[in-house]
Amino acid sequence: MLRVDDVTKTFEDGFRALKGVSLNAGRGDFVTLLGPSGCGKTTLLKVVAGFLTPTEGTVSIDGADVTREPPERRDTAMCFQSYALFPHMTVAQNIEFGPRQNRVAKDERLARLNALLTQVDLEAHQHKLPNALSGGQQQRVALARALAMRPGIVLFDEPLSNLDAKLRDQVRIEIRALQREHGFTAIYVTHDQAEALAMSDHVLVMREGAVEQEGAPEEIYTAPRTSFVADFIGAANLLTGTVLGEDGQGRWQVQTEMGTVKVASDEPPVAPSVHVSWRPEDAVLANGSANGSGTGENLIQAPIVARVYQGSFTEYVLDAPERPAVSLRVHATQFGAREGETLAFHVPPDRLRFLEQVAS
Amino acid sequence: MRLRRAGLILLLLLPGLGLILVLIGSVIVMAFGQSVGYFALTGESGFSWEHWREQLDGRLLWRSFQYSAYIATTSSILSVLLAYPIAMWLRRPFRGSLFAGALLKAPLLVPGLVAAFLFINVISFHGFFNELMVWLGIIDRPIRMQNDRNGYGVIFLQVWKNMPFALLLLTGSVQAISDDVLNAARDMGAGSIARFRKVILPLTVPAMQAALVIIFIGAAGDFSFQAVAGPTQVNSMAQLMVRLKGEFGGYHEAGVVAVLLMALALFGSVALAGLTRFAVRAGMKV
Repeated sequence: MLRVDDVTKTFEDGFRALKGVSLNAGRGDFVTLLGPSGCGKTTLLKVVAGFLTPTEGTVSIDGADVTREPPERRDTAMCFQSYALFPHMTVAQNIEFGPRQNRVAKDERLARLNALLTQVDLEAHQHKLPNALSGGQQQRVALARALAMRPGIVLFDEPLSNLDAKLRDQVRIEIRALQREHGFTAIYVTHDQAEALAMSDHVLVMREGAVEQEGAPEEIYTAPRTSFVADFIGAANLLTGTVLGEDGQGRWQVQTEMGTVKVASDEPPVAPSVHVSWRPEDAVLANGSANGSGTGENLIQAPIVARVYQGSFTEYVLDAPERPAVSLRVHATQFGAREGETLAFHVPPDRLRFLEQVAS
Repeated sequence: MRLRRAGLILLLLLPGLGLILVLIGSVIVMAFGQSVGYFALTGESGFSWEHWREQLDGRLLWRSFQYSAYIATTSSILSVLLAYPIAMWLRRPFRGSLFAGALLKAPLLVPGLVAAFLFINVISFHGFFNELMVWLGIIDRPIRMQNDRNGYGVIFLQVWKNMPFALLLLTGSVQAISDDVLNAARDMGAGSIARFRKVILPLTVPAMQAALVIIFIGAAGDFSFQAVAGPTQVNSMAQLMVRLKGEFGGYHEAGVVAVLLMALALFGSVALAGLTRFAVRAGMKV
């Protein structure tokens, strides 16, 4: 359906926003481009939409090379971060704009309009101007306007970033439901890792114009390959480790800031000196908390520096036993310890991950 | 209590509103009063429609009225038409755009009378333009271009002088349209003409109307361009006023012309603004 091959984009001022990015998305896939501001995700989206022409590389849709085609000739529709609704047109006129431009017959146009108004629950608002609608309603109009084109690919440029947290959850579910119902391919740009994990079939984590890692959300979360991905997707404890040896069964002895730990990994570390990560929620409190009982391996004892109550869990910030300048984070669902006390916990060896080599 | 409050509001509004009412109101009352025989500087004052009858029956007034309406309408429309593509060009900053914008707005700083004199120096019988054309061999002998019968010279001057003003208003308005909105239209299949017609024009209507109306009113009341570069066989309304008052001492007749000039400015600008909105709406539906 969509194929982006080795795309590079260099702007007039010499800034390279994309460095050889490739992407494949099948029909009906929900692919998310995830990364911090300035990583090139919106540039990539604009290249796919046709608003930017790549300096190198190609973009193909359904096997046809559309690299030099303008946006109006591509089977794509975009949902903008700012919604980009036409302020002088009513909700219905906004939704009808695309089909009108494409000379869709009136009956068909009205059928699409009515169906979409029902789907996005805006029938009562169809004669209103966009400025009379709430943010969530405007976002739904933008979505309906894009869908009215019956595009094969819908491009979402951080569509939920202007909505409050509760509305964001609601619209997120609506977008996914509409995507499944209409069967379009979605390319979704966000910097919100929770959004990416919740919505996507496939995630591309981008950094400085390149894809750092790609895969299914579970894979990205549970098996990050670099410190950047581990840290960007959820919370992570990042350590530097020196590999001391292997026991022959895929269990590695590694010297880290929290002591010598065992890492269970099918893949060997990429270098003798590597970064190691583990998730705060993977810690198993040693004193019988609700997190369950530990295996006894990788027992760590560290002083609590701070305690942050987060509702469904409590985050403990600890000083690493062998290097107090390094902070460790542990999430516990039930535990009453306070600052100054010592927390004892296990990290199961299969929850520790080898990452990239430590830069010299 | 309510009366005191209303009085206070009125008192607060008085410095601004009062000044406007005194300045505008006194002019209108004075002009209309003179046109119906009051405020006579010579002879007796007294109500009479005679001056209106006399002027409305004469051809001179109607020719001036038509001429001023023609100059004002043509100049305002041409100024706005010319300003739009330039405003679009200057929408996004580029290297030298600030300088280009400043250069294009430079005519705003040149007094109209100076511009008119410069212009007739260029197009006069032995002016720069004719001499150049003859020297280049394009024409055998100079052509008469000054004070042309159709007022093209005046229209040229009006557009030269007023286009920068229209540009000033339109540039701000065009720049206020976000790239996302234009990209959205493009994404949905709108080419450059459709984007202009269906998005840019409707969103810049208020600025366009303001430019049209202000240029129209200024051009309808023009005296200096007409006096220097205008046709000799017809007067503009302002020129006719001065002539009636100066040559014939006809203050009452000049008052009639003044009232009609104000009516032309009012109804002409309302009609122009209304037609613009109608045309833009019609354009959106196509």
